[in-house]
Amino acid sequence: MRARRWGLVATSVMLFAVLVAGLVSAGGPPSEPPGLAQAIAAQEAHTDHLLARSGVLGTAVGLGADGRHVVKIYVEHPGVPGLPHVLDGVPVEVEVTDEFVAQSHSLPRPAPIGVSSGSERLIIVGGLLYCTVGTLGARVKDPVTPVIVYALSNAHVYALQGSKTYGTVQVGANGDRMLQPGRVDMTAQACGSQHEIDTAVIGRLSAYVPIVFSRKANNTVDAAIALVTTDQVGTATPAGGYGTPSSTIASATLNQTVQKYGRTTGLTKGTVTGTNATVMIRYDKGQTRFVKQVIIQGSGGSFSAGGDSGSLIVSQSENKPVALLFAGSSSTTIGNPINLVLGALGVTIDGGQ
Amino acid sequence: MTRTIAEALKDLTDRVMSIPGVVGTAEGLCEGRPCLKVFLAKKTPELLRQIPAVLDGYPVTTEETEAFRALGH
Repeated sequence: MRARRWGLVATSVMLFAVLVAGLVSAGGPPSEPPGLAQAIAAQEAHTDHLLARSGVLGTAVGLGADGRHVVKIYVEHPGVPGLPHVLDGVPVEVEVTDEFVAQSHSLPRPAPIGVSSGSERLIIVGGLLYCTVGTLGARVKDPVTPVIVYALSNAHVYALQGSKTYGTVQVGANGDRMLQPGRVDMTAQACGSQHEIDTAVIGRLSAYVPIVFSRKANNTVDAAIALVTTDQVGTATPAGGYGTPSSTIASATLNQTVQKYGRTTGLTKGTVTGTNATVMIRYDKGQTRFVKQVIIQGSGGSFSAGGDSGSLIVSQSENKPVALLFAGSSSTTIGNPINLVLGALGVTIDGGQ
Repeated sequence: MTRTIAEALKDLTDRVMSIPGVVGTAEGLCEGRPCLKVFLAKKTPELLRQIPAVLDGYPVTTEETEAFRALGH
């Protein structure tokens, strides 16, 4: 998982202060990881200049894949010319996003699928507290008692698997409150005000599949469900998405054309280019291995980006669920086969009928 | 071809996943034919030398994907 201290220049300093205060009240020593101060200074020094460029939407301080702080530059399309790779010695990551216009605040209830969602619980990275976010992928239901419905996402989004968390337990726990939007996307103050958090609750963590951390592990799913109600969560994507997934699932096949709707990149289309994949995935806690995975390449651009974790991947024909998006790189997206996800959690896709 | 592609993939996975810089393997299609894929964080001559070109008659291709990470934010 990649946590993020969210904010443009004005809010980044405030967020840092709030998070350190939280750590002090918990009794731990406030320690600043190497690179954070430099990253904030570099972001502040260069944001005005960067925002003056066409195609640049914003900047933030974030964590790179190696856990070091980076300056992130958000752009509205790939290939914005003249962006730096390094700012005052701090690495730069460029991310294509439409989050500033599409999905940065709370949505009417029932909330659509494919939107911002996450745990109330904070995580610890480098001695500091962060909030996180992913995507509410689909509404799923109990096959025997279909009035019991759940929101489906990843275990690293809802149960904070792969992270160190803040509180009395080291991972998310069943009963944790799940939110829409996730705290990263709240606006009242750093990671949301108490009122904003309380009004964002859609349900409580009900079950998740623990991720085993080992280079020889045979993980197959990164999946979790929160018990919700039909008043809180609907079955269709926002307008402009693919709509409602079919309740009939399909196996991923090579060259199959697929699509997803996610919190960060919205609706994207792609093709299955690998099946039965074995892959090493990096989380905050370290790397681990997944097997039997589905590999997807985007059509004319990235299929996914950070924050899309938990999105349901469906076939372009008939919206048949194929996989649950959970990982990737700038070129490649990886999903868990949906039959394994649903089987592990004992649920079926709620196709809205 | 004496073995199925799934069997060849298992063999390939056992051989290459312990090599630093290899981040994944999969079944794929190469020019419409079944092939084996090896995903690399970065393509280097040294790494490419350690990847077989063909296994059990199945072509093996390499793709530079960067390292994979969980996509929560």
